[in-house]
Amino acid sequence: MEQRWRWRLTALFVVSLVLLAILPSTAGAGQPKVGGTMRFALEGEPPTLDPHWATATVVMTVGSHWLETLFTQGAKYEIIPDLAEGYTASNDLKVYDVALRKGVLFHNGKEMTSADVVASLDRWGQVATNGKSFYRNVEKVEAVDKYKVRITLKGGSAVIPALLTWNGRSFIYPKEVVDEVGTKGPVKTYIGTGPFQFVEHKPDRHIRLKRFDKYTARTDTPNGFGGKKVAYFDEVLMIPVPEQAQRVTMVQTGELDFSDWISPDAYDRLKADPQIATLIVKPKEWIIGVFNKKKGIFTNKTMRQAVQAALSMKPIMTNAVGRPEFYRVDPAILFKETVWWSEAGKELYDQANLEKAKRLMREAGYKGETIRWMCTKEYEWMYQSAVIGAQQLKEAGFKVDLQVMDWASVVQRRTNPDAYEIFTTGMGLTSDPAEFMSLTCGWPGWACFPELDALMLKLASTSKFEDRHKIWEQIQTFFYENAVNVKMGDFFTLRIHKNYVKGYTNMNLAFLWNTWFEK
Amino acid sequence: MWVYLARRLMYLLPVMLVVVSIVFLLIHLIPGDPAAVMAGADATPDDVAKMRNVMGLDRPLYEQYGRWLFRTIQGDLGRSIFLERPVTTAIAERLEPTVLLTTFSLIVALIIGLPAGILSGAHPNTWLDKGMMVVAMLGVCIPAFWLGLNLIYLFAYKLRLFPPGNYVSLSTSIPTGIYYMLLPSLSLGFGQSALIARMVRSCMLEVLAQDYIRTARAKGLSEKVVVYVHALRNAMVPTSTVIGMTIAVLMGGAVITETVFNIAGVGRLVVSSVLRRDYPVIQGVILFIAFVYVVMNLLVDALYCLIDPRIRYD
Repeated sequence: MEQRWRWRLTALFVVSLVLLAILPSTAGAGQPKVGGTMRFALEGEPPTLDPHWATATVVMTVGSHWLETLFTQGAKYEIIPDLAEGYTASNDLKVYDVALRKGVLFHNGKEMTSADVVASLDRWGQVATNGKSFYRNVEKVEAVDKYKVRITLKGGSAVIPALLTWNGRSFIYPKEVVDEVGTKGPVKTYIGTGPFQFVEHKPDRHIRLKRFDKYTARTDTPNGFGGKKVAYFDEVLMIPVPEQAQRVTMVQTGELDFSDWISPDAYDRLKADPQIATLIVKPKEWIIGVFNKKKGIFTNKTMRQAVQAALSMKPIMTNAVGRPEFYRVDPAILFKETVWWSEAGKELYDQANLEKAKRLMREAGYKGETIRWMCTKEYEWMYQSAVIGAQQLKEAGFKVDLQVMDWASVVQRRTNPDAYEIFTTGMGLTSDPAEFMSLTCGWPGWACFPELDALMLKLASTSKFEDRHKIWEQIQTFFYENAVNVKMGDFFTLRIHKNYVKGYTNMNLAFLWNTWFEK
Repeated sequence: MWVYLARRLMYLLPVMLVVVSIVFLLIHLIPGDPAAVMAGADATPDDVAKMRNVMGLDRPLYEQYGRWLFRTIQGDLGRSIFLERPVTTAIAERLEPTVLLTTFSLIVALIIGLPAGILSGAHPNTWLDKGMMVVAMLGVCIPAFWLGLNLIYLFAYKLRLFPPGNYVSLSTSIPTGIYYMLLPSLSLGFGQSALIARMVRSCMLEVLAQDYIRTARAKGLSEKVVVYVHALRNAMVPTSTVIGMTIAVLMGGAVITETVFNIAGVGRLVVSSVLRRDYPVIQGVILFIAFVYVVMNLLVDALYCLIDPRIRYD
């Protein structure tokens, strides 16, 4: 009997030793910790804090922390529910019933109901670019009951859940916040349902958010932007630092914990710094040369095809981005990381065929008219890609006038068909391919092609993914065959944080939930 | 004296009117408008047009100017398009960092510039004089932004002695606030210290060559008394003009230094407002800086009487 107890005590001692050895290593392996103030660099001061009102990325970065949408995107940018529990759609895709999650609280303590969702979507449909485009097809949005919203469309569309994501900017506010301003201006009271709540905004100095202790998280596993969201930081201080070199130094010296939009030129230096974690943001954007198809020589398809034939993308992307880790020469209009990727039309991409370009120019009757190519130095990749692109066109025999101006001027002048022949900009992820703005007639460059419109409409009104993907391939083929615009290549950006920041999920828009400090 | 000051204050009005009119015309003549920037890259021309209407930018230029001038005369500089607050509030919120940066930079400029100028002037054509003038020449030649970037690299990045930027209000912590202000002040003040040093040296040389200095030396006064009591005060009359203008120059120079050191002051407000075409803020801030220039000029003129009682304005 005594011997048995001795054995038991020995066994208990051994087990205790093993547990002692294991426990600290488990904690070191990344148990989330609550607390701390995350100092996060913004690339500039947001023009407004209301994402319904402006489309700038910086507005989205801030907004996605204190606001939420009915749906969001998972790790592969697929559509998953967020504030919604789920949805059903009629066979003709004209009626959508969206069930809301119960018990979701706004930061003012009020429960979110269908009345808030209807008010928010109605406002979004009147003031936001995506919303206005969507609402042209909306018969009505109504509350069926406290937790169900019905969207009735004039024509069937499969893009509804995708449009109701953060990427579509359809954020949900309390009804009283919407009623306070209506459509006259940006919201004045910053209340949402997000894991962080708004505290104060000192323009050019900081935006202060704090953890929303009554946040109603989903119970499913974290997945991309969605799933269970937990705010571990006590506070998030979003500090505008417009100079990227300053952002780098401030993270290196510990003045900041996290920064997005870092130049790839700093990659080697930052990778060698043991205090810094480097992340390549993939996908980010692709560089596009947009033809003015309303007026001037590029109303002629053959002329556009001549440009398409002349360009060689690797030198353009090397000059624009520098390091090969940060760009990709790829024909797809929608990134390789998404389910929509396709190589349709690839034979017309990256041709680098000067002879063909010259032949097409002769066929089109080119007489040495000046091509005004607008770009900006505010985004270095825009300028650097345009410099090489223009050089390649000159080698083919085009007369090019590269016009460098600030971004505000590009944005204004690109709406004037008399002002340019090409302008350079970037294309990011869209909520759904049917929402691709540069393939529409209303967007600068004016892609007014009845066949393209018909394909886009067909894409919007088809529900089965396999069928939609085939239509999308036809659209991409049309894009290349008609040289609607010219794609240069995908580029990625560098994101850095101090190595004590843990749990971070690297998606194309930075977010700080499910992330914590380990220091 | 008071009549003179009142007359100078009267001149202030037409000067300000000319400044604001030129600024208004210039910023409206350059392409780009805030509606397009605010609407974002995905906005259609219709969206931009609607936003221009909301902002009142679709009205004729003379009407916009008339409205703005009428409000400005009443002390209302308008409302920022982006910051959603009155321009006066936007300026007031950012005044503290700029005033501190200007003050600290002036202190740096005086601490370096005055002794260097006096020593150089008192010991002309010596190695000390030549060495100081070489440094002064460098100070004049080196742009503040380049010096700022190098100071950040050396003291913030390499030595980790100072923060690379940002601003901490003195109301939060006085020592931390000063600590954060040291590198920007050195960067901005160094160039002006060189200017002050060269001016003081030149004035000292001129004064030290005058008869009354020879008389002072002849009656047996020590060199220290001759230089610091008799020569310096007279040398300070033209120097005070430079110091006065330095304050205004520093305030203008803060535009670049605040950008390099990420200080949310009036200078950075100008830069960001120009980039996003926030017309009311640009107009308001330039009006404010012009006002500081004119007032500083006036104060310097008034100061002459105190430094040199022989100067009379009546």
